[in-house]
Amino acid sequence: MEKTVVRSDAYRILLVDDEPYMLDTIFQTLERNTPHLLDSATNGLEALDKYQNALSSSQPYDLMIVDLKMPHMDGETLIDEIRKTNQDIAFIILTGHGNLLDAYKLLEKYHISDFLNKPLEHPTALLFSVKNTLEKQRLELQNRRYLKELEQTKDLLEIRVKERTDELAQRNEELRLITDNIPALIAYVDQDHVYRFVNNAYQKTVHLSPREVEGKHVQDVLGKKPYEMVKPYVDQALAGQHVEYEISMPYEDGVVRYMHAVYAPHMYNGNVLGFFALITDITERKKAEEERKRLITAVEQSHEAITITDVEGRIQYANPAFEKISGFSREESLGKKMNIIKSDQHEASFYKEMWTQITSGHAWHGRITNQRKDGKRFVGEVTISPIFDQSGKMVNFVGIQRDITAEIHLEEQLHQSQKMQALGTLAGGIAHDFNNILGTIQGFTELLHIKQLEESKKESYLETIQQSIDRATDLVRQILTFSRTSEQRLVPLHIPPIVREAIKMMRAVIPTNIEICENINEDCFPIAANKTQIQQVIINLCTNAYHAMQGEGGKLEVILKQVSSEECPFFHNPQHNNGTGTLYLGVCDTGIGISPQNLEKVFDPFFTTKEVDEGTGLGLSVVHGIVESHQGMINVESQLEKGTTFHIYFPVIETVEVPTSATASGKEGKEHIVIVDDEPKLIMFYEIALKRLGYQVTAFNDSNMALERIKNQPDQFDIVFTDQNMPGMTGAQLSQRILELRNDLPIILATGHSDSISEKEAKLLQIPYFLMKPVKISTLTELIRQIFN
Amino acid sequence: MKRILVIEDDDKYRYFLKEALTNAGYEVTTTSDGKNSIELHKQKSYDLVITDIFMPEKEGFEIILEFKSHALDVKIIAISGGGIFGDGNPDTVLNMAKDMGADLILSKPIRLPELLGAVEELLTVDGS
Repeated sequence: MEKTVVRSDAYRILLVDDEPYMLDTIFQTLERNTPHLLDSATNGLEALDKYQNALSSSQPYDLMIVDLKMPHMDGETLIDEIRKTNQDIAFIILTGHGNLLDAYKLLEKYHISDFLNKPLEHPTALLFSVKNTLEKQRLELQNRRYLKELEQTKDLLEIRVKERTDELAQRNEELRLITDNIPALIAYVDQDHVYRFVNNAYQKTVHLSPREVEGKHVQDVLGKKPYEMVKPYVDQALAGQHVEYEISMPYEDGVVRYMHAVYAPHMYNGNVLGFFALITDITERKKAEEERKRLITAVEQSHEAITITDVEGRIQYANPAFEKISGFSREESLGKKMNIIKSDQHEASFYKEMWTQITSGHAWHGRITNQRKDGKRFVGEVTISPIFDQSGKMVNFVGIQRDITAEIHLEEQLHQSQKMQALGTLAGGIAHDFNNILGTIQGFTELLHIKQLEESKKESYLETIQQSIDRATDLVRQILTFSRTSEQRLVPLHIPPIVREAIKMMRAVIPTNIEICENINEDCFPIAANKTQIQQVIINLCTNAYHAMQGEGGKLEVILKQVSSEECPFFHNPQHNNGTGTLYLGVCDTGIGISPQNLEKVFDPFFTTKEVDEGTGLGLSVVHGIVESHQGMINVESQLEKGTTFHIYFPVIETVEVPTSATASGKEGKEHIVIVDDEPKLIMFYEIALKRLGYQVTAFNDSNMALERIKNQPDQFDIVFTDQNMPGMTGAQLSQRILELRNDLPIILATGHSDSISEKEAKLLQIPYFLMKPVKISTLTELIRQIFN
Repeated sequence: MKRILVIEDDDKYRYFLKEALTNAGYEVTTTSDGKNSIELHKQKSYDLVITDIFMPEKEGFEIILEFKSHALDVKIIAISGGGIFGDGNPDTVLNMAKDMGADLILSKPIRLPELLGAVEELLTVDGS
């Protein structure tokens, strides 16, 4: 611009003319009247030379005043040469009158600004022409510059627009890429409830591609009902509010999904143009939440104390039941170790074993006597299970415990009260037996006062008194066994003698119109049992059976046998099925039966169909309790007017050591024994002793009568025990006669030292067994068992 | 000699009764059950039957009723040490026996003079 300002004052002008006068005139005129910088040349060549010099020294000429007719290079050639490369320089032509037409032609051809006629008539015309020409040239140059700038600006704008367009397209692409990869529904909805943009996630939910959704009304996409449900929120968003809500949406495909939605209104100049929607499917989260809530509720409301600890036993969670049972509030227990409820009731080894088990990844179950905050003890039935994380690492222990203190107390009470009842039931029978014993003792004591009583009689009476005292002692022992309150341990026991003994006790109580049938198999495996409790089971069941048959009478059958585990309907549980088998105890009556509605309640405590005085209703519940404590199973089968059968199954144990008791000495048997002796006292002694051991005894004090009886029924007897020295027929003679009748009948011959037969002789007579008198009961029974086993 | 039939299932008590009564001069037959008592009586025509009440084979009540139903001329003494009725008291049982027709009732344990006195009383009243 500065250059332009300078130029407005002084332009560079080259004068070209071969006529010195002319050149001089113009030079002087311009020099006198203008500030322009002047130069001159006398021909075309020189002018061209000067033009190029000026151009290369960056001081180009603005105007050339050129004569047309010159030597060496005329004006037209010069102009032509310059115009080839330069459109900016202005030309004024000097011409004679005759060349006017040529001058006009050149004017057009070379864009000449003006021409002047020679000779110059007035300097003013020159000055005027130069001024106009330069002004015109200035304007032209300026115009051309403007145009150029305009052109450049236009190009620039076009480039910018293209760049922006590309950028937007890129952004759009990115936006779609982003939204399509977000696991949520993203949409833009306009004022008319029409989708303007949706992401790809819509395809999954509404089963339409974004292209299909965009441009459609919300109702057409979602369906009428869902649309009505969301419409209030859409209206709020379009009223310019930020909306956030959760909704259970029944979609067109029939799937109900729980959705979380956020609507953000799109504001422009205070108007709402539409809104952006971000909708998340929270169905799974909601389900998990509900599941969690349910679990929490269950745990929180559980009556069992539930604690979660870390692997070091520090409490991380405790439910309200724990607070209640332990007395420690949740705040007090959190972070503490479980030993806050530890009592001094267990050895350190007990906890050590428990800890070893759970830390090795196994659950522990058992009873623990714990201590409350207030120091009171309670018994908890506890299960502690380890919890593993996904990588299999043990991370927690969960403990569940139930306070069974009251239950145990009740159990003990029930047990005790049941014992009292059993005792009461037996009281009558005991009184009966006891009075017989007392009567015998009293009677014989009084008979002993008789004077002149034979010695043998005295001996017999005293013997009988002694036996009665033994019997009384035994009876007392039985009563004591029943009334003992201490907790009974389970030990391996052989059950048949125990059952038989219990039945024997019942015999005294049960009226004679009820037939008692014992079906006891001796070959039973032992079970882990408590003798008193097993007897209690028999007595309770037999008492019930007897009550059911009262009046009419009937048959009571007690069955004891070994069955295979497969035969036991209950022992599918592996806990009960050790493969060894099962001991079956059945008590069966032909009484009035139990109605189906009562059948399911028979084991409930205090359930009874009897009159107030007749029973407490505890009997069967105690039976049930005892059977359970023996790891057994019980069920009942009954038909009205037909009878009832209780089936009991006990898991048997394989053990070498079965403690024997006085009654389980291995001397018992049930064989039918014939005893022949001429001494009534001895007969009575053996008969009582053998019967007590379960044998059936038929005794004779006359060998002929004995032979007669065996002759009539040779197969009724299993063994003969005979004295040798008898009046009439000796034992040896009797034996020979018996062997003639039945040569397989075992015979035991008892002889005294002075007797006429030795063992050797007895063998010769084919009498297989031989005992020296006096024969002890234990010796006799051992031999009998040896023979039959 | 007066004949007495003793029905008692308890061996030792039966033995005692036999000894006591034999020693007192009676002819005594004993049996452990009362199943054939009527037949035995028909054979031997006893003057007195002493029967226990609770026995496994046949109850004394039944025996008393049988004798009474046959209108047999025989005295009956019922003896008992109690049993399964009510409180287990022998008196309760024996009173029932008396109601059924027993002439005398004795509660075990029985003193020897009491037994012999009762037997003598019944057999003397009879006048034979």
